Amino acid sequence: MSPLIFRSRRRLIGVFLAFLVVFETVAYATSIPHQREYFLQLYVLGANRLLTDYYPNNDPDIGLGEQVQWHVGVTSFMGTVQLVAIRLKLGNETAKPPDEVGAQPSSAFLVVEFWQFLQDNATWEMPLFWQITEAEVVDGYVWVLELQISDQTYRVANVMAVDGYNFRFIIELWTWEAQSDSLQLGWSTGSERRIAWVQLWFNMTSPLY
Amino acid sequence: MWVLYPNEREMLRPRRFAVICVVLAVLSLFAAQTIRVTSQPAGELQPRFTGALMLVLQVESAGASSEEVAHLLFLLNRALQLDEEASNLPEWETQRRAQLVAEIDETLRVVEVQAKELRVAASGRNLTRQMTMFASGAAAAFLAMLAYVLAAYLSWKYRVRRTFQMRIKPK
Repeated sequence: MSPLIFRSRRRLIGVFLAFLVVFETVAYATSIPHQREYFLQLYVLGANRLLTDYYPNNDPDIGLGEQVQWHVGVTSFMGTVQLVAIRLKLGNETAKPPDEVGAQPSSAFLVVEFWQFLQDNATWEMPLFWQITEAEVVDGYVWVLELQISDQTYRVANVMAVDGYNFRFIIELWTWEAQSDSLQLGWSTGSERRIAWVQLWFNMTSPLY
Repeated sequence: MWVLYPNEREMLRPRRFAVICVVLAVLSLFAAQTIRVTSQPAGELQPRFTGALMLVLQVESAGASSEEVAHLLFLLNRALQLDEEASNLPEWETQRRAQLVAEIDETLRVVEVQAKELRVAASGRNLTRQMTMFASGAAAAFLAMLAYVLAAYLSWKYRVRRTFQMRIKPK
């Protein structure tokens, strides 16, 4: 066999290189990460961490000092570590919601924001227990003046509703973008910008009782 | 089967060129892989948390395991909690605030040190893993070539035996 091989060394090298290209291509293909869609999920659950019981006795008409229990969560499928922020805003029916096309935030009043570093495929869930601790009625408008969220008190400005109907919490998801070195609404996927937000409505028709 | 015919010599130059192309293609695979792994996110960094985020991203892109990254994130989220606690303190609690700020600084310093160590370790580990992977590809190609030669040899031997076994029938 050996004389034959020596005489066809170039052919042997050719065979070896052909196999080499095939095997290295396979090795490279298995090592590169698979293409997938990168996104974040934002959700709000009720008191029992279910998609029900968002309000005490399932009545969205909230009284002064009545505690509402929600759970807000974010799940990351972004492929890398993210610094995310949840912004909790309070507004009424005329407040501008986030613009999904232009990726513009809501015009509602920013009450508080919560930050978290989040790994890929990880979920960050936090309790959001809130109550309105101060409100007043002026000329048929109910004004929310103070909120208590998880043992912290926050002053609220310019949030009112006619007869206390149709207040809403708007919860926006923001991420820190390393390229622009700033906090941005939503996240970038390729050339697109996507946002995630949730709103929950409530009334406060009897604020002083 | 393995004889080099004279007219094949004329094909040597294009063949050599093809071999060089193949070798370059394999080398470019190595190079592309190396560039992809060692590239780091760029940009102006804000101090503290965003700087820490950049470090963690570097550790992640260097090929650190999810457990290693999770440990860093645990520390960072702890620092975030302390930061939130400090910002919610009333103004007169200056001592407690100073204590929290010192704790945040220490946590971020630990993150920075650990992230740098992890980045170096993960880069080395990742490089070794890739070298092993591509070396196994070369080994597999060598074994496949041996199998090919053996198969060709057995085929040739079989044909020779069949030739000698042929019966010559007189007409």
